[in-house]
Amino acid sequence: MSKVLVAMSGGVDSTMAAFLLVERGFDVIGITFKNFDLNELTPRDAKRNCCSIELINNARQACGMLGIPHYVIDRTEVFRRKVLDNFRDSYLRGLTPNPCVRCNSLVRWPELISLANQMGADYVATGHYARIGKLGGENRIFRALSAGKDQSYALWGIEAGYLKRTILPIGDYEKSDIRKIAAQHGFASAEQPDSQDICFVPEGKYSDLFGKTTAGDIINVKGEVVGRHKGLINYTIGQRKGIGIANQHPLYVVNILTDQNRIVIGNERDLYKDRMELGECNWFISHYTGMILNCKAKIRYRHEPSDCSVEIKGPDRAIVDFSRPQRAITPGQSAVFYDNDMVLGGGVIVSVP
Amino acid sequence: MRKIYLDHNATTFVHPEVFDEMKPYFTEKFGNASSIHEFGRIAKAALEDSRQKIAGFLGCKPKEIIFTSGGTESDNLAIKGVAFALHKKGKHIITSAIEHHAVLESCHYLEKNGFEVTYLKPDSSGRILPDTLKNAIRKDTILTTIMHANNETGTIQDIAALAGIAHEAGVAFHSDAVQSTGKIPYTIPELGVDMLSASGHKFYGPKGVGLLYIRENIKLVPLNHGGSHESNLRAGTENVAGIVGLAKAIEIAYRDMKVEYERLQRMKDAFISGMRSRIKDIMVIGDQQNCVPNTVNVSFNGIEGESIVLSLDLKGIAVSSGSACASGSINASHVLLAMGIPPEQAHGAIRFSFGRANAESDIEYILEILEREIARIRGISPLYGKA
Repeated sequence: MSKVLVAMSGGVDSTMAAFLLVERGFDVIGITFKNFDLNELTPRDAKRNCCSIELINNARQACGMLGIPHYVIDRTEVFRRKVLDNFRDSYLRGLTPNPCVRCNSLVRWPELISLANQMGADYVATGHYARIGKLGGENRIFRALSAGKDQSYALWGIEAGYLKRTILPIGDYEKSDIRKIAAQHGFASAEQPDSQDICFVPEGKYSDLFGKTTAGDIINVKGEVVGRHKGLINYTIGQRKGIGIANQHPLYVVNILTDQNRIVIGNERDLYKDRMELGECNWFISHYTGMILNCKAKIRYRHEPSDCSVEIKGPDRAIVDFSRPQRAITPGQSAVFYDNDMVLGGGVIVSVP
Repeated sequence: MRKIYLDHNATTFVHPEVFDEMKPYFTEKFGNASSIHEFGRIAKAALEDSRQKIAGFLGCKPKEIIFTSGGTESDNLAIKGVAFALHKKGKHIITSAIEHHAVLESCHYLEKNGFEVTYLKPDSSGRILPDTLKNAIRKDTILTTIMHANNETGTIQDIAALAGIAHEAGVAFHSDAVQSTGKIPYTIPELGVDMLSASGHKFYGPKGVGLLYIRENIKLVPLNHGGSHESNLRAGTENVAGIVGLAKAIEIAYRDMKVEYERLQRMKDAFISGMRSRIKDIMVIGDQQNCVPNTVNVSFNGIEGESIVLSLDLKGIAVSSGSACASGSINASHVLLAMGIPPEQAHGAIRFSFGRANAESDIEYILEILEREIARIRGISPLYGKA
């Protein structure tokens, strides 16, 4: 019987991932990573996030119902180094980071695989809405069957070698079906609302993570000073609310000039760009420097994949040209490449020249 | 799968004789010990008989024992109770860096409320040297609290010497004896303490019951307010069934002490020498000359304690590592770090605590599984053998 470790947050998706694997006859072990201590990060208490005691207890209770072992594994240190510090640092540099992507790539998968090795397990699994499929005998990530819930965007950075040991049990299901199965079998998490926020900023107030920030000028696209901003961390490209400048047409943040501590505002049309540069690229397909790839790219979690051509510029760099300009290409966010439903790879948007 | 329980310092099963003794107090003898009628009198008699029995084994007066919900409550009551009673005399408390969280967190709480606390460092074997205590005592010191046996290493402190030093300076002395009670034969006069905490479930009694010995002349402020139970020191209807069980557990422990002590010591010796001959690069932690007979703390170089605990659990062997937090995750042991054990070795440390759930014939099986699992984990460890 194959042994599989399932990363369980305590939410309904990962609980059902474990359930489905038990049903399929795997020897399942539940793992809950404790990645941070919310009391240390944001003293205001929030119950619903993936490292709260309540959710850890949900996971433990679910494992009890499934009759499988459950372990809580403290990974506070590595999570702080690889995700939290980068999150803070990125915001301070005027970027809009994607911590879930970094967590999957640098914490969740490597730590799961390492634990699997230590515990003699064959596979690792999570409750992501995405699928693992084969292409030419090799495992690849595919979009979930449930298009509205697809989370393949968050998985582009996983080391390709890990895919042959990865199972994504819920990628073939609709969210509503997952809830239904959970309810039928009496799991408490069936009723839990979906998590919308970043796990370590449960109320969406990430500014709590920063100390005082430095105010600076707001300029227009012509370079004229038109107002003051409250610190770069409060702004992201495409943002309309909270700029505080009256105008007859809506105004948007169109650029963040970190080295000058300035934000640039403009009209809707100023948001459209057709080129971006990527760093930290990870590929699931064979590739070489100079290769040009025609595919679709997704530049944020909720973005319709759009036609582009990608020029691979080095082991982890690429330049992307879109067929049509895209709205609010945001440095710090991930760009993920697809061939139909298959994830080809991705990278972090470094600049929009 | 064969299941082996090697975590008796975490908790023990309830001894069948203890369980039998408790049963009537859940059903026909259910009275409230404060009630005036016969039901109450029966419960009250059981309560006071238990107190007397325990006082007999510990060598103190019955009225010097008050019953609590366990070790944590006893520690809280002793430390905060004395601090609140004596705060006008002084606001300095001395403890050690290797105490249980029940003591450390009580001290942290007092620090946040205007008290000063000195945390004594042990030597590398985990012992607090008398001179260390002597040098830490100040004019405004009101309490010293140092544990009898450590939960992680089993190392026993020379409580008589330490209490003597505190008393010379007129400072009250409390000891958390949760890990020694029932494991080694002591009496209160031998230890010379003013207060002492013990907990039923560490020696085959039930969970949720413990005691605090308080020498007659020691004043402390209660933490629970309500009825006049337990000499006005611990309001709340007494857990009579639990207290009856606690008394029976102490009786059994003292009755069987010599035989059980020797049996556990033989098992421990066989286990340590078996490990030394079969597994390379290990370090046995703690003072083996001054140690409870059931506890072995070992660091396996080059691997994480976490992987050992998890792997052994999957093989049916229950051990522990470090101290578990509310979420159940494993943190590095503050005890081992305070002893000056390097963090890499502290991370690879495992506590084996033997007891009545084990037979001497289990040792060979445990060694076999342990040898195999350590070799397997070291085989995939990037840290082992590549230094």
